[in-house]
Amino acid sequence: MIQIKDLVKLYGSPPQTVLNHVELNIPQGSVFGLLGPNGAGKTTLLSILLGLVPKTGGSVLFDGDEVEQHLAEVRASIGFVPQDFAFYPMLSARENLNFFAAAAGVPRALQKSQIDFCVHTTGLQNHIDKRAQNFSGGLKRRLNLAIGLLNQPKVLCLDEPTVGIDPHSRNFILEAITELNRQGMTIIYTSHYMEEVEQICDRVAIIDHGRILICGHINELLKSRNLAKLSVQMDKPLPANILENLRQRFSIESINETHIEVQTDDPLTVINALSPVLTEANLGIERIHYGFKNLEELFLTLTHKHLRDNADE
Amino acid sequence: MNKFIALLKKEALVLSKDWHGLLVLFVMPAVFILIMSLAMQNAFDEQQNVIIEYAIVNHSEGELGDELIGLLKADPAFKATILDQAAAPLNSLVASERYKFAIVIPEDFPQRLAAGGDENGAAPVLQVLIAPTVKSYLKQLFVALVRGGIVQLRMAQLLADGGSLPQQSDSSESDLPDSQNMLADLSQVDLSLSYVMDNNNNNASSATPSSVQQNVPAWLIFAMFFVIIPISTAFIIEKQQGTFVRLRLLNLSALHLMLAKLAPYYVVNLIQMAAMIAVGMAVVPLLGGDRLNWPSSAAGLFIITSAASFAAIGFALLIATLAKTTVQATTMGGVFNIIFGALGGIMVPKFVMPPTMQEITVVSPMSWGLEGFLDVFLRNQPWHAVLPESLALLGFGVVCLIAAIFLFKRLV
Ligand SMILES: Nc1ncnc2c1ncn2[C@@H]1O[C@H](COP(=O)(O)OP(=O)(O)OP(=O)(O)O)[C@@H](O)[C@H]1O
Ligand SMILES: [Mg+2]
Repeated sequence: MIQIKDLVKLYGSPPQTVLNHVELNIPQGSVFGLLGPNGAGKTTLLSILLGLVPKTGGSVLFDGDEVEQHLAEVRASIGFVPQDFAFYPMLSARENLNFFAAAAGVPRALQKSQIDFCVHTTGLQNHIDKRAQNFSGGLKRRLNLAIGLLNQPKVLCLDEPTVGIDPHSRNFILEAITELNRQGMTIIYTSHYMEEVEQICDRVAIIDHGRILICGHINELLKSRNLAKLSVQMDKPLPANILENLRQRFSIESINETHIEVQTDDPLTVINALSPVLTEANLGIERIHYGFKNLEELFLTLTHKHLRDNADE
Repeated sequence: MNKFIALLKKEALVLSKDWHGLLVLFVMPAVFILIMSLAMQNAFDEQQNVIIEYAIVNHSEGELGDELIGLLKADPAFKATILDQAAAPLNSLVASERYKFAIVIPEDFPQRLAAGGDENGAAPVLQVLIAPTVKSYLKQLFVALVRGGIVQLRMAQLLADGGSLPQQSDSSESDLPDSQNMLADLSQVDLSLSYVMDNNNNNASSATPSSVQQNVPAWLIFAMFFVIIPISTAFIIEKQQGTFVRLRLLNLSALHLMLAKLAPYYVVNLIQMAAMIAVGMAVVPLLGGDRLNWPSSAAGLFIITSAASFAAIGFALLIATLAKTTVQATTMGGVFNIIFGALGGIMVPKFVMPPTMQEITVVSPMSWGLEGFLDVFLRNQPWHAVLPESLALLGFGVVCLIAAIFLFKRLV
């Protein structure tokens, strides 16, 4: 459905590379997660897809058509939920929806039913006549989403739709997205919350400094062996000479005296080698794990940094 | 088109929710008009008292004319200049405000004086020319002075002319005019009062407005420019919130967005105009100030108001596009408005400024608007007199709007 080839974006002067030869393929019907830390280039990527920002190089195809040449059709097929609250805070939810429906060119006869659909999908029924500025963060996010759905899009692009939100609203939004996908909508979801992406996305791309580090089905990525690690937690500190000995045979990272990590695509060989050594030193194993527990770990391995600077953000 | 109507409706709705902003637009100028009109009333009067000069042309030969002149000259509030009969045309001297008044004493003044006050439609005792901008209280003062002089002359005549006394005692009237008769006489003296109209624009622009004539248009134009507060507040929220991004995705152009903002605020400006004129005509006199007169041309008033509104909204949109935050916009807008107001003769009326400052006022669009308003409120000009100022305001508005659209396209 959406193919991005060799996309480059430079910003400012001196030119700063914000998107660096990005290759992405977003198939129809998928829930595609775009994961990346602050400033990775997620919003820029979506903006180029929507023709809001000109690209420097490469191509972006929507249903096989170059986006820049088919702006009106592409925009009509995409629903966008911006990172900011893109509505009028002094107006009520209903007034906002009425305006955006009319401005989106929804035929008058269909406006009411379409607005009703959006209100139900986002669970705004009980708040429809309140001023948007009096909404909680969660309700604001839901209104933002509702407006993005007004044009009955084929593809829904959500730019960090759950920032600053209570767990109830978060679940509501995630479930709504899942339900929309079930009805056939293709979803592009950017976030820096891994758990969310793991929960609702089937595919994910991890982006950092404008580069796509990895891209594919989540399950396959988490199983990907060439990057995977064997993590062994022991009950007592490992003597230095034994560690040195192991280092000569495997690529070992010692997290602390009782915990080692070994990057390998053949965990059994490592365990076989480890077992006599540990027995000899009279050490027991407390915990052992192979593969990536989650995207966070995968991300950490790829970038050597945490996805979020701090958990509250 | 439907999309544009949706935009218009939205703007009107957003505006109607901002009643704080709206309140400011109406209460602020009304308060200024009331305070300033009443507070400056005396200042304006003094301003005019100081310079009240009048001319006298005496066509009569006898002593009576000179006696009258002597009586009039005794009043220190007015300064008389005796003009030669052959002097420059009196009408134009008065029309150009060289003199606020002129008195023409006719050749047959003694005869007219004797006949004056009779109820048989005799010729007026003398002629008084009045400049167009003279306020009514001043006119009354001056006319009273002239009448007083004439009544004194007549009383002296009556007292001196003993022969007429028996005749008068035959009648039912008393021998000597008592105070009541004097009062009656005062109002009976028939003067020919004529206002001198002016056809020359240059001279007209030097006419001095009354307190209410200055303050209503001045604070109206000032308040019209204050639409910058609600416009920029709404605009910057749209900009910051990313609403504009959404509107761009709906293929609404910057021109559409800007034009949709013009209409509701134009209506607000028109209502401001009507409200402030109402304050000048109804409320100011209620509190003891002068009453604002009807404009000489309703069409002219409408044209200059529309042009000023366009300029004010265009300027507001430009500032709103430039500013990054609401605080920035309101500060920038407020500062510009105060500079425009101070330079444009809003806070300090232009006619009390020193000449160099008066010339500087042309840099302020508010002064263009004010001059246009004064054309119809003060100088009794026809509708087309406001066209130069209106075109200037229109041009200013167009430049601002184009700059705003250009900047907007680059920013959003
Ligand atoms: N208009 C612009 N001009 C110059 N640089 C920009 C502009 N917009 C974004 N950038 C830069 O491009 C980079 C990517 O920004 P972008 O907003 O796409 O990141 P993001 O992944 O969406 O981050 P966040 O999680 O904070 O939203 C950042 O370094 C940012 O400073
Ligand atoms: Mg972003």
